Formats: sequence, C-alpha cells, structure tokens
Amino acid sequence: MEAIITAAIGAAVKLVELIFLGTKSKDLSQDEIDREIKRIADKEQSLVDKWWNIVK
Amino acid sequence: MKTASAVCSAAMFCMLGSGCAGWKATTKTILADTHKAAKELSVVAEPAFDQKCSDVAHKCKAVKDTECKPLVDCEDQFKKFNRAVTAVHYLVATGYSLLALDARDSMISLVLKLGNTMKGLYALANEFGVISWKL
Repeated sequence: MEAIITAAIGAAVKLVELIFLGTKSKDLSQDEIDREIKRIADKEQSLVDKWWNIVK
Repeated sequence: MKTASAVCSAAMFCMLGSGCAGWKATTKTILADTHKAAKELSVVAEPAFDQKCSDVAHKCKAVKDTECKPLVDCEDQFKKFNRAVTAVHYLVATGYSLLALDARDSMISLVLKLGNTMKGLYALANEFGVISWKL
C-alpha cells in the first residue's frame, strides 16, 4: 500500500514537472535567444556607425 | 548580482542533492531568469555606452581628431561588454539543449560557468561605468 502511494505521488510530481516544463518552454525559446543575440549585434553596429559619423 | 548568485547557489544545491526531483524545472527557471537579467542589463548599458561614447566623439570632433583614439577605446569596451552578454545567451541556449538531453552532470558545470560569466558581465558593466552596482 505504501509503495503504491509513493509511486502515485512520484507520478503526480513527474506530471506537474512535465506540465511546468512544457509551459515554461513557451516562455523562452531558441528563437527568442537568437533574436536577442541578433538585436545586440545590430544595435552595436548602429551605435558604432553613429559615433564615427559624429567624428567625421 | 546577489540575487543571481543566490539563485545559482540554490540551483547547484538542488542539482547536486539527490532528493531534488525537480532539478530540470529549477534549472529551466535559472536559465530563463539569467537570460532575462542579461537582456535587461544590455538594455540599461546600451544608452549608457551611447552617452559615454557620443561625448567622446563630440570632443574629438571639436579638436578635429578624426582618428579619435578615445573613441576606439570606448568602442572596444562596448564590444567587449556585448561579447560577454552574448556569451551568457549562448550558454543559456546550450543549457536548454542539455536539459533536452537530460545531461545533469554537464548541466552542473554549465550553471557554474553561467554564474561566473554573469559575475564577469556585471564586473565589466561596473568597470566601464555603465552601472554602479557593487558586487
């Protein structure tokens, strides 16, 4: 009986974990990370161009 | 930074302990939070660098210094900072891949590296004067 309860609790915890991971994965995707990396690179280029245009 | 360190410490405790069944969920939260912190730091630092390097550029223009060595230095700092931010994002992306592979041991070393990279990022931001937080 105790083993069954333990297994049931374990399965429930696993289910909650899977649901949680599934939900969270929508919050931060590889695409989002790639977009942020690209945004940083684009912003860097535009600022550097802007600064050197001031000097010219 | 203290929050990030505390979160990373909690993640390490969880990952190293045998009784923590939700290590994946905890680690995923850490990765998302770290990504967010790096993104926010970047958004704060960009206008600060812009102000700082624009001021340098205007000073060079005033004395007709077209080579403007101080601007080269300022630009290098900005690029160094951006490389550190990008490194954090790549580590986070790698972390998600490790989660998918269920690679707990590799994840432990990645979280350690992520913590150190974040600490270095804040140190750079502090050193370059774009934030004034004390580590």
